[in-house]
Amino acid sequence: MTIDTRDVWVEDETMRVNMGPQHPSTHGVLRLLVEVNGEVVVNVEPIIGYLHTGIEKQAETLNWIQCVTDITRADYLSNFFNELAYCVAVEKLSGVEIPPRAQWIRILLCEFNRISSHLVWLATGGLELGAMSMATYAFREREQILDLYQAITGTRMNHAYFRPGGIALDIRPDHEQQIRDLIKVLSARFVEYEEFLASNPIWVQRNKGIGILKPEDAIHLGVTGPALRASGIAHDLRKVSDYLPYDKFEFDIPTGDVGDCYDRFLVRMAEMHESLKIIQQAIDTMPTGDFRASGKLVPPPRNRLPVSMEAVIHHFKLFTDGPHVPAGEVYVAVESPRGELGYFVASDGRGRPWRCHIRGPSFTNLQIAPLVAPGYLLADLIAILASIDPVMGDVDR
Amino acid sequence: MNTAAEHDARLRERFPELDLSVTDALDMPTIVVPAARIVDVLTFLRDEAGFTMLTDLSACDWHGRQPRYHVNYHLYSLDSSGRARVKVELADEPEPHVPTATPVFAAANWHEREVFDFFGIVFDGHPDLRRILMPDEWIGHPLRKDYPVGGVPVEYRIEPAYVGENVVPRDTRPAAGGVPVRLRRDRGRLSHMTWTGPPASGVPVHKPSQAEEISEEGKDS
Repeated sequence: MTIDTRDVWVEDETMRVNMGPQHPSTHGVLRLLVEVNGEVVVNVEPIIGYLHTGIEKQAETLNWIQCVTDITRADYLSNFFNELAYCVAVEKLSGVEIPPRAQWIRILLCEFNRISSHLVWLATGGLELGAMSMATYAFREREQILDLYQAITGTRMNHAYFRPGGIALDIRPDHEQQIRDLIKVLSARFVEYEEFLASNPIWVQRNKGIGILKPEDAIHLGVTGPALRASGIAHDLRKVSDYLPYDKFEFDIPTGDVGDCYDRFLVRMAEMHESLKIIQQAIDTMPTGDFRASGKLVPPPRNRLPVSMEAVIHHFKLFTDGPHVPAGEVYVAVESPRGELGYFVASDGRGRPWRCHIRGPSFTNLQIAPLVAPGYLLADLIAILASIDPVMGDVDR
Repeated sequence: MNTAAEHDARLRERFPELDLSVTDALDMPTIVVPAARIVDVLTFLRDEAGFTMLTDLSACDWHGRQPRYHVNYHLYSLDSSGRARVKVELADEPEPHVPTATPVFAAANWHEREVFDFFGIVFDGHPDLRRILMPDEWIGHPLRKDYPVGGVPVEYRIEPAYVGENVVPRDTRPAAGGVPVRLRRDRGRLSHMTWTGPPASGVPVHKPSQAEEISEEGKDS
């Protein structure tokens, strides 16, 4: 057998190597076609689509309530944000306002989700750069957060807990103590982790000055989230949008100066502290009252079913046919752990979404790899990729 | 700050020949632009209206209506935190064409590839217009409404790889209760469009044949 070397060796002595799709440091099934000159990266071409599961097409076959179970699987590390963006879009189309308690619970769980997602980034990012123990520590804390999800929603991942019009179940009084205990544990641990890594000379050397993303490039490429903030632009949708009442909470937007991998690390670490602050305020000011809106979008209260024929009809119609959402189209963006997660939802007035497009932040952010990686070593590409923190479920959907 | 009326006046002043109208949609001001002038309008909005970021570019197939395809550009202004939707409407053709937005916003690159992949909308002048999420050799554009859900043949057969002595092949074991399971693949489901007639040409539709109605051994019993 002869080997065709035309694809392997290019005239100027650079070499093309495939990194992935089965590579432990590509965060899933990302394939990078890397052109290297010795150890130096000349060009990177991300090749995606290995995890494409047709979530958007599937959403068109499900009714408005079932759809939550589908789209929650898109970004599988931040399920609540998928559900949030979708539910806010459906509520906007239907003109439904959700009660304060539902908003507070959404904020509470979303901020926990931001932490649990960042913990996976910390664990895998540390693992890839040689800080092996980080993986065990960060996953230990994530596990406690997943236990909380399980207690509240019934599932560790893919919760389908946010529903159009509110949430599926109310939180119980005993959850409050669990949350307060968890806040104490986490706030102490985050300080430890930051010291642990920031005082590690190898970690600092492998991150500082690597993968610098200039702010103007970030804007041009539509980069959002921690990657944009690390480049010095204090843009956070929680501060400027009204999808949830974040204006009632006090928190800061951490930003970086240089826009290198180290800044992205610092920004994410600081964000976890800010999220804890929000959780603390949310649990302290948790309103009482209903956990979902009234109306045709949500099921009738259980105690109405034995006494009201209308409630029975409503219940039956809702779970067989699904609610009918007025025709229209809406784009809702929320600040997910990776950046702007946008849902473009269109309805034709019937029982299923006509179109449900997911603008995954990882998809757009991954476009910076060919821009920032050239000139660095192949090993630095791993650090750059880890600092972008793409989730392939979000990229490929 | 970010009202439809304000954009309306400015766009009319700049593009008097286009007769643009900005409407206040449910979520943000929406501008419908003819495909040929999309680059000019996007450049204007970026440079003079402050919409420095293209956050999303997607399409929607309004099958059965005219114009059939909508390409939506969602713009964001970092200064005013305002949003705007620029919409290009395309007729029902096998290959609708739009000029690419990549020179204006680099972010459009992958988004346009995605729209091409899923809707078959061609972005003229795109530097690298290839499929992005579906395999390169894929036929058809899956997010078009006349593309069936589950229209892809799945490679599986019930042919026991190993049948030894005293070993009942797993696939021919009767289900609980002794009733043989009749496996059947659900085919030809269209995403709530079943009544719209035959799909457009070029889309492979898999017709269930007899061989695919897979039954277990002993189905007659």
